[in-house]
Amino acid sequence: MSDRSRLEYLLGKALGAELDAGEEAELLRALESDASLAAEFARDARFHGLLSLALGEEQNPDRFERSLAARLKASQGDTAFLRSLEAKIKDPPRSRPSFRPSTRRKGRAGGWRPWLPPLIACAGVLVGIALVFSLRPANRSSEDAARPGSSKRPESPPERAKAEEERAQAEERVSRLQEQEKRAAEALKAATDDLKRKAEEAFLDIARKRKEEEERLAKLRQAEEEARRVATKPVPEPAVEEKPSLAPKRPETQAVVAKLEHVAGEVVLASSSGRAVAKGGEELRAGHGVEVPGGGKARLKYPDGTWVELGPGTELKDLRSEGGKRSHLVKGHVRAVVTRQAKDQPMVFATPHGDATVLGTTLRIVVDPDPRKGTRLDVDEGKVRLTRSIDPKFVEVPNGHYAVAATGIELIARRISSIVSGMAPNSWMTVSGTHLREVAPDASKYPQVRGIANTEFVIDSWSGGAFDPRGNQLILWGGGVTNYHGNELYAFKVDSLKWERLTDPTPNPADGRQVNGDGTPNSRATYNGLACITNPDRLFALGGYMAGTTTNVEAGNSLWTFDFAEKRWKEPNPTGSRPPAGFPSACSYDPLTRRVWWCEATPSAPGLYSYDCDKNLWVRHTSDLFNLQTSAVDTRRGLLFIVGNGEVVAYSLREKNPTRKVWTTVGGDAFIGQNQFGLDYDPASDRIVGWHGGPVYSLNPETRAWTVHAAPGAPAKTPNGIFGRWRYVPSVKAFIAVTSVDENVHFFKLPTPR
Amino acid sequence: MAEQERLIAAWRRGDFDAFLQLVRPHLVSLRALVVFYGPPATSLWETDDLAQDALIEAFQSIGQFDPARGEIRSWLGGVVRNRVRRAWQESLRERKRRQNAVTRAMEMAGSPEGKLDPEARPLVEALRECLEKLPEQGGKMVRAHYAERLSGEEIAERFKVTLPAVYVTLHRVRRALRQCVESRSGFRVEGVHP
Repeated sequence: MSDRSRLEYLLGKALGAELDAGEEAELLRALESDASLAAEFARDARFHGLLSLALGEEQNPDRFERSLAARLKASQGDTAFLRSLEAKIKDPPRSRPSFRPSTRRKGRAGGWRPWLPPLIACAGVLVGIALVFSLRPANRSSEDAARPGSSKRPESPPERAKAEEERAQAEERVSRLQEQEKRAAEALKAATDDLKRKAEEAFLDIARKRKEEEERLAKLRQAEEEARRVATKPVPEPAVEEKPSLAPKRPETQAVVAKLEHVAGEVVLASSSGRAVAKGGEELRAGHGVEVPGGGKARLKYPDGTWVELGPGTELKDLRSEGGKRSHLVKGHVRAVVTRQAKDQPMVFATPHGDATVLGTTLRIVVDPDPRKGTRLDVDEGKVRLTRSIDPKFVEVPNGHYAVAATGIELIARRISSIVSGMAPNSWMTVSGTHLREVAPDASKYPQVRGIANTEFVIDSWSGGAFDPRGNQLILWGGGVTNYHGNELYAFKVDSLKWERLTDPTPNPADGRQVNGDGTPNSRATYNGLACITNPDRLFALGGYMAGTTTNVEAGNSLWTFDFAEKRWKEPNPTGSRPPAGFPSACSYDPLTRRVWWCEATPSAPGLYSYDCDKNLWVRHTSDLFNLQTSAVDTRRGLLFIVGNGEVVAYSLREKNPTRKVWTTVGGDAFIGQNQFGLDYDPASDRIVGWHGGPVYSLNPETRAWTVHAAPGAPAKTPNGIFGRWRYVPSVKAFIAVTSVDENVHFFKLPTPR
Repeated sequence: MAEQERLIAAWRRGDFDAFLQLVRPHLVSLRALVVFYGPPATSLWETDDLAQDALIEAFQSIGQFDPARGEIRSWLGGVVRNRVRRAWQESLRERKRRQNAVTRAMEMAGSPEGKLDPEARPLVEALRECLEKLPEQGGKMVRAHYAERLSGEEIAERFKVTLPAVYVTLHRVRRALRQCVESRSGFRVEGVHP
């Protein structure tokens, strides 16, 4: 840090009263030695006060006057002290940790703690709950008997009477808890700021207990009903005496709710008969639960095809099927694909902070035990209702959105991608949980697609990508040569910030040939040969090296397109002057000319070519030779930039006959001297932006100067080139970077131009 | 005028609502007086505490206010200035226990020349206009610090920048804003004390 920056740092920190003793002494020395510095700093400090006054007022414009009114009221008469306490209850002193509290106020108030009375009230409510629980009849055996799934069942009128009694007691308990919950809600309403948080936590605790008690009541009602049914049955013939069975009592009388389809790592199956390590394939019945304590994973499948995946650290308990699929997600995270459910039989995930009610969708839920973090629901498809425990509020969360049920957080649906669009300029962001490998095909099902290795070569094998703005997704396609023979397509969905595998690999690829037996293109190392055509919405794929038993089978000039709507590959066989599409060419789509511009690198037929998507026609414009460079279209000026191997070349695509113009640029030699990097145009900041690991480089087309953006947090680059896996994403005004199947997806946002 | 007399009469009977109605038009300027001449505060709460202390004194000093001798605003300004002076004395006593760069800078700047009576509203309006012109990142940081009252660390976390970058940015933006406000309002912010 320079001396000037160091001084600015100290001056900035001093006004937040955050200097430590050493820094304070350092700043004092600087001020003492420079009177003009001291004078300016004193003016800054006064202005700091004005800023606090003006901006602090924006948040709460009436606060000062309300507080003053309360203090004035308290100052009247001989009982001023008592009245000031009353005033402080109405307008308690603020206690943000980032600002030092007033010492004078403390002195006057004599150590008054404004949160104390309501907290005492909340404590009273909790003590009440404890009393209720302690006064409950300690009749565990009868309660066990009434619990579904228990080995004991009520089978006679006396037991039915007992069940009725227990049900009545439980109803009373629920009634009391509801009353206490109401009182706590009233206390919560009256509370403010810090106090509100404490009251909310107490309220949540009560709400959770009420919920548990209601669940217990539901079980008791069920048991009572069962007892009634048994009691009204005709008495069976006593002729045959049933032999006592040595086998465990039959939990199997409960219907199967779901099946534990797959487990990985440590997974525990919890039931009324105890806990056991799950192996996979177990049937889950009413009351059962599944825990994934460590780094494992488990997948439940319901009879209707609905599946739920439990991540590490997850506890899902009390699975039910009455009234719809129900379960209690205590903590951790689940991902679910829910098939269409009957309207009166929704799937419900109950969490400590709320309920997620699903009729048919793909969703993810993360439950944090901390009530301030609460339950986060992400909806990838469909719509889910999230109802908060603390109050009757709910929100419909549509696809591509999320909502959080937690203390102190507004219950609204937000775009999942807003986390990226709101990122700070000149910074990198890692999107956690976005390893492409998570959606890769099961290698055991596709043994023939393995080359030297598996999915890792979807990226590492000189593979590219293209951004599809209509689907708001980055498309990845790669593999080929002897590395990997799977031809599946991947998409990173920016709306949901997750990977999706668009196609499965062809199980028996035709190595060394253009087309597989199923009519799809063979896997290939795609380099810079991918682009997205936006109208119609298709992937353009040309060139590269195909999968085979040798490493040098060029894919040639067979053009392939993938229709995103139909999810189908097509071979359009265009007419005109086809480029040979040799290694290592590059291409970019220009939405204005509706053409893919192809920079051919084959010495025998070099040139700038264009593919007219509407006419399905190739045109050769020049005979310039390109080599290992990457291209991007400046849509504002209609310029095609080709950068790399030490040069920046531009073609004006608005001219009838585009001609090559070499640009002399400054400040970017270290970048343009390389090749096989990522390059794209950012229309928001009007910059051509490139990345090849390390700092980001941006070219201002007006000044022809490069700027280096060395923000921390950049991922390690892919050893064999970045290509189209670095793309501008208009919806979030940031660049996406994908570097490995085992690395999270990253975003980078350029600084705001001056 | 009749309304003011009615309010003053009510204030004499101990009606604080009447007092509030009288001082309401002057609250921002009175608070600004504390901001510009009070001892350095680490938060708006401290500044407001001091302003409220002064106004409570004013409320209780109804016997000293004579409408015939001047406007209520001038009288209130006098009460606030007296309270501010006392606060400075308390602050200087406290300062003996710990050095403070802000207080020292103001001491070095000296006392103001002329009357202490800032008209705050034009300043606040100028400030709002200047805030609009800030670069996006700087503007967001300033609002995070002053409106949301986030600490340096919280701002660094939100904006994914280093802590030194936060303080340097806040310093630069604050100074640029001050210069903008001064040029728009014609009021020079001085780092003085009473």
